[in-house]
Amino acid sequence: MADHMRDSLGYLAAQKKAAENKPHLHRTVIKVLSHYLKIGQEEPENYLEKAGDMFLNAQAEQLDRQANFFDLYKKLQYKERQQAHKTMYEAIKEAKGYGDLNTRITDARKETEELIFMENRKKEHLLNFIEIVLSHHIELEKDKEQFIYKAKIEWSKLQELDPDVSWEKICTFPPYRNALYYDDDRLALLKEWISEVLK
Amino acid sequence: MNEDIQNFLNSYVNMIDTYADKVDDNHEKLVAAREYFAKMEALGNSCADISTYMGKVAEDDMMNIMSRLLTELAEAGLAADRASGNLKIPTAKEYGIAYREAYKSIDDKEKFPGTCAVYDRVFELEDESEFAPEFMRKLAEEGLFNKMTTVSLAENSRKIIPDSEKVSQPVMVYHNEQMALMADNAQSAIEVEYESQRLMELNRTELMCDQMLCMDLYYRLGGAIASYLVSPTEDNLHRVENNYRFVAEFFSVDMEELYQIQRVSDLIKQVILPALNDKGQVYTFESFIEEQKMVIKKSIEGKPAEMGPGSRKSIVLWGKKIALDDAFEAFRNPERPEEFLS
Repeated sequence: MADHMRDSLGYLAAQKKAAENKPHLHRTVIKVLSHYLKIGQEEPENYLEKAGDMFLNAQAEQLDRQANFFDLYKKLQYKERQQAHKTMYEAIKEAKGYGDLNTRITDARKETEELIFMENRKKEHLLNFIEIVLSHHIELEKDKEQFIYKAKIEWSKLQELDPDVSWEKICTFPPYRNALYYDDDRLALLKEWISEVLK
Repeated sequence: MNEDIQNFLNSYVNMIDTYADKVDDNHEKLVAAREYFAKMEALGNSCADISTYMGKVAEDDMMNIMSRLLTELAEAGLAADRASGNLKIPTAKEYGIAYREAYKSIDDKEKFPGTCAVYDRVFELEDESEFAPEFMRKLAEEGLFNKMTTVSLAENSRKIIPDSEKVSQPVMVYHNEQMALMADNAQSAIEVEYESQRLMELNRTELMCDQMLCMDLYYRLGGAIASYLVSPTEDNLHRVENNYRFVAEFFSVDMEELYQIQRVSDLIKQVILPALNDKGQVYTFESFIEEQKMVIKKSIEGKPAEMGPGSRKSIVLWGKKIALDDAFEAFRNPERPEEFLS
């Protein structure tokens, strides 16, 4: 048994060393692994009982995952995605065992599914909208009508997902702005063309 | 009971039985699992076929609930084993089964040299080890848990690079280079997941910019010209004119400059010409451009297009203004904002 314990602690030490390559991504994992290693070194006779099924390690990995994604989407300013990962984090934090952890993750995934895809959907409607506005601008006069109808649909879908949306927001808010290659001059031009479609 | 439903339920019976003799008959987790199983069994008896049954199972989320109860029972069983000192330590061979299965499941096309070398080392360590804890320690010390993912990821990413070049996707070339570099250096699954997500989000934004640019700078006009060549009507010629005047106004480029822009010429050479020549046509880059210009000239009938301001010979990427001539290179090697680099 002593050999097995030495191997288990060696395994944990190696995992901790790997985590320390990017400590800011493994805050909880490093804490938990350090905790288990301390027990193993200072109270080897109690290790099996205190380490138990190593649930804390499984929970720590899930917590760090969600915290990292939250931080990423905070930088990108994708607020729905931030909310989704915050919800997942809080659900995982309350888990008391493996079964509970799995259920909480499954439930939280279902709850946050719409939030996860919201940013992509917003961008899709925005780019479709701009494409249609340009098509309207370029098309023959007699065939422009169809694009007015399509543009209004895309704009209203975007508004459903982002009630605060406006051309001014699109031109300044980084999640929208970064997806557009236009300079300020052409954004102003687009604004004129949009007004012909959304009047 | 319908046979398919019975087979489905039998899998739960087996799982319950695996842990039932490790705990007392009246253990709360065993009682809970058996009671819920009885509920699923009663439902099974009331359904004529597996589809109806599974529909009702899904409606009440029964599989998830049963899965949770079984996991809790398993935990109780393991806890009982630990307390009684009966915990069986798996052998290295038993532990290694999962990795052998994983290796078998890799498509032959994806059994790249590096990936095979990683698994060869895993199986060497398996042979050198008697029990699972020793095997796991050795795997962890050599970073092999991680390498089973990252080496394959790096090799696959590098393989995609020439394919992306062939379809004029400079953004994807850069993305796969970055993914390969990340995989070469990542030390944990958490790191791989975070970095993959970060790179994917940045890539997605750049892809949107590039795709919109290609559409506005080339595909609209190219499509209109193609329609005219297939069906030389007045309306189609008028569309060519409108599209060309748009390009001139929006990008301040005329037809001589347009096809010299690397983003456009790369698209034509990598995507358009191969597609056309595959259909039996025989175009060179020069002959293709000549044909495009001929149609444009016809459409504008000697009324030169009005150029937009010279400042429009540009794009914006990550907040930075870049000359149109340098757009291809900018997508190929984007300068990303500092705050997104980690």
